[in-house]
Amino acid sequence: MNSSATSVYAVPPPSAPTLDNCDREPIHIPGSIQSHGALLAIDAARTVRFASANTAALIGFSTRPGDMIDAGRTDVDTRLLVLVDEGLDALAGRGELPMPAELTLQGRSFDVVLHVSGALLVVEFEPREHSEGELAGFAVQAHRALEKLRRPRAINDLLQLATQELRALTGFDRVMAYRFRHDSSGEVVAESRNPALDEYLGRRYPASDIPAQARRLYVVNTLRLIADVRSTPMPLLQDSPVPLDMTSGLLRSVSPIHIEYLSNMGVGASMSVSIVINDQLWGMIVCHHMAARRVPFSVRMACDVIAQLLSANIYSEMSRRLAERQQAVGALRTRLLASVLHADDEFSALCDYAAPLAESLRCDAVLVAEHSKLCTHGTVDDAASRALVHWLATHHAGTALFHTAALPSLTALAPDVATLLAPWCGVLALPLDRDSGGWLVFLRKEQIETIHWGGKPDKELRPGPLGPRLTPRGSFDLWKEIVRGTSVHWSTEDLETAQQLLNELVRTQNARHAELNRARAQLMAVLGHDLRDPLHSISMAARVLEKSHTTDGHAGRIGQRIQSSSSRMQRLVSQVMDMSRLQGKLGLNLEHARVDLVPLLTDLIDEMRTAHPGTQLAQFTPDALDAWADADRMAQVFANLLGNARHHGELGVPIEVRATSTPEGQLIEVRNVAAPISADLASDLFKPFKVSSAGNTRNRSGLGLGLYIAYQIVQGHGGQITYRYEAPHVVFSVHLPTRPPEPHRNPATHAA
Amino acid sequence: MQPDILLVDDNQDAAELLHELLDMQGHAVRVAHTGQQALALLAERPAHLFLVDQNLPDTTGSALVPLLRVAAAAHGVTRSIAIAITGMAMPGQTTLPGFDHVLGKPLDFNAFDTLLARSLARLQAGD
Repeated sequence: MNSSATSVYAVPPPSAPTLDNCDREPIHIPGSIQSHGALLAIDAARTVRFASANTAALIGFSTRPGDMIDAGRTDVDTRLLVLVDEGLDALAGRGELPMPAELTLQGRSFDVVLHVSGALLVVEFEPREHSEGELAGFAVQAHRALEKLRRPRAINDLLQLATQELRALTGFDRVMAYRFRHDSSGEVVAESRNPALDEYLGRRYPASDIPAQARRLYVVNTLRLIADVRSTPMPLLQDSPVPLDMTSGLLRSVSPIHIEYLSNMGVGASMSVSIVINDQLWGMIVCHHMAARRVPFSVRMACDVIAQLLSANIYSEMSRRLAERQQAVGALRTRLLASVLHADDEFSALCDYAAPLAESLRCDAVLVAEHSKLCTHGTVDDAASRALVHWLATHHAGTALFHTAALPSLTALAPDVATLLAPWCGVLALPLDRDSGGWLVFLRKEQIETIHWGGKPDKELRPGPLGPRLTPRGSFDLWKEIVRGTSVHWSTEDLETAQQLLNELVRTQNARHAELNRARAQLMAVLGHDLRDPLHSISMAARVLEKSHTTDGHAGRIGQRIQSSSSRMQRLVSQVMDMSRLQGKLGLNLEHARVDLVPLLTDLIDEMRTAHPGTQLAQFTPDALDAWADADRMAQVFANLLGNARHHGELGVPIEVRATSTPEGQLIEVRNVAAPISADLASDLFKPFKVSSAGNTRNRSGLGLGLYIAYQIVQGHGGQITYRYEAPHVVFSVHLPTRPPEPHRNPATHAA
Repeated sequence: MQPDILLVDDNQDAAELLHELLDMQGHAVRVAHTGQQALALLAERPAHLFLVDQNLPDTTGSALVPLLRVAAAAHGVTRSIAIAITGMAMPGQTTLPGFDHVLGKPLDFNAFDTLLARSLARLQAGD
């Protein structure tokens, strides 16, 4: 092929499409039209760029690419020239395209329809076979159909009525309404047919029957007539290698694959009208005729209007049902959230609502889980429920919904769970709170479904008209498939309802947590102020008793005792406050600065020597040991370790305090001679509220919080605190990194 | 001269006991339980050292101290020291608006005695 303007191209041979590539077949540029009509495509300079090869025979003037269509053409009907003038004005952006017109050419009546494709004005000619009188009759009939379809009805009733009306109007042998399912397969939900034909009602057609690009064309161009499946397409003559885009054309020829598909079905003519809702192909009305059949252009337009009315009516029916459901679900949600917010415990509030929740999501069972608690609604087994929740918790991280309609198909992932859970196959799980293992899970039972396929929906490799390849199936005989292990599919509405429920439950939960945190802060204030105030008075009274000149030495000693007990109590108050901050995830407010640890340790050792003259301490520290640390908090850590060493160490043997610099940072050790800490105690050393603390006769006053807080402080510095036994020493080591990670980590991430 | 001490604390037990303790050490101390009382006492006679609880029924220590200083200045006392005694301080907190020093509750008596002695010495030297 060359691209000179004078040469005329033959039809570009279609690259043999196969079923395998039919998703990519460029069906909008076939290079030919259906042979019962004629087509011209004219550019803004009035030059013909495309012309069907049948112009001379059909519309009485021979036109080839490169010809001009202008007033100089005496062979062209003047009314057509006027129509072309108006069309070219529209192409140039001046005015609207002219309405389809009736023209008589060579004594034959034509519908002439104009549209714009790219930079070209496309003129299509379709001969009329009916008289004006007949067409007027159709118009009256179409009007009646519209009147009937205007009334609201259930969706399938509307579709049934539409098939009846369209069959009456067009005379097709069979008119079917398809509804596309979630997997894009189509199901015949209404049908009107010639009683001599097999019934197709209830048949399912696989998604691959309508490839993606065909779906796109059905959305853009909602009515499509294939007037004669058996006719040979009429080639388009063209003078450029760029094909004509016929997306919006009436006469576009048909993909050979589709022709083969229709032929296999025994169909001679077909017409389809799209039901488009929200720009999506929701369904179609498909008409089949065993022989060729032309439907007048005006009748097709009426069918298109009927389909639009039908779409609008279906949409409003769907919206009405959705609104009803949303209202019901919304009311339930409001009641549920109110009771969750005000209940002492979210778990039991949710359990109370299990039954209505199940109903709102069209389920037969609901599980509510929190920690080890589980409540179920419906006849689901307890062990199976626990296995499912455990599986969800370990396999589905994050805050997103999990859903499947076919849990057994996940057998590879969850073999035990699927087996235990049978016959429950549909799972919709809402992760309420990962920390507490909170889940709300909806279950649907297996629904053994018999699908009536319109032919076995597998592709076969057979010799077709274009050679051996995957071909459309040859048989459209009923082919039954029994589907097991699947529940009713979770619809978009179900998922939206669940998502909304999850969002609001999480929001409510956060509100509850905020309230708990407020309560915790209140408790801290009570501990911090209200408790310290009387402690202050007691300590003051003890001091007065101790210092008073009027009392004897006995009262003074009692004063000292009260004094030391109240300072111990004060330490406990501080520990509980730290604990509360840590568990409320507030952190310890560490303020890092450059600190010399040696004077800090020396001060602590001196303090202990003063307070407990019987305790021996040996200090092995360098002249200076700089660290990046919160001095007060680190002093708290070392004071705790020293206090423990004094409490638990062998009397009369010195406690050793060692500090050195290491390549990783600083290492501080506190060692005392004692028996090793037993293994089970050692594993719990840094946890709060250890059972062991309660039984320790030498540490009666401790809550066991000291090491827990020390651990958190050191962790907050990016360091580590560890215990080891080096006979005969119990050794606690604190490692601090040269510099903690910035910004410093929240030390409260360790869950208690 | 001996500096006058004004103690402001709504905890009556604590205030009375601290009063007694300071009394035993020979200091001149007056006690108020509210901000209003404190100002009324100062109107009669100035003070040089203020020991004030941060949480008071009718005000905060931080708001009261500047008023106390103004009231003292009205009697010609230009040099005063204010020490907060508070149960609200975070560990390690050393400053509060209005105050020269901050001590936590319950009082660490070593720290208190040291600070008190140093403050009184400075007030006397300043005179």
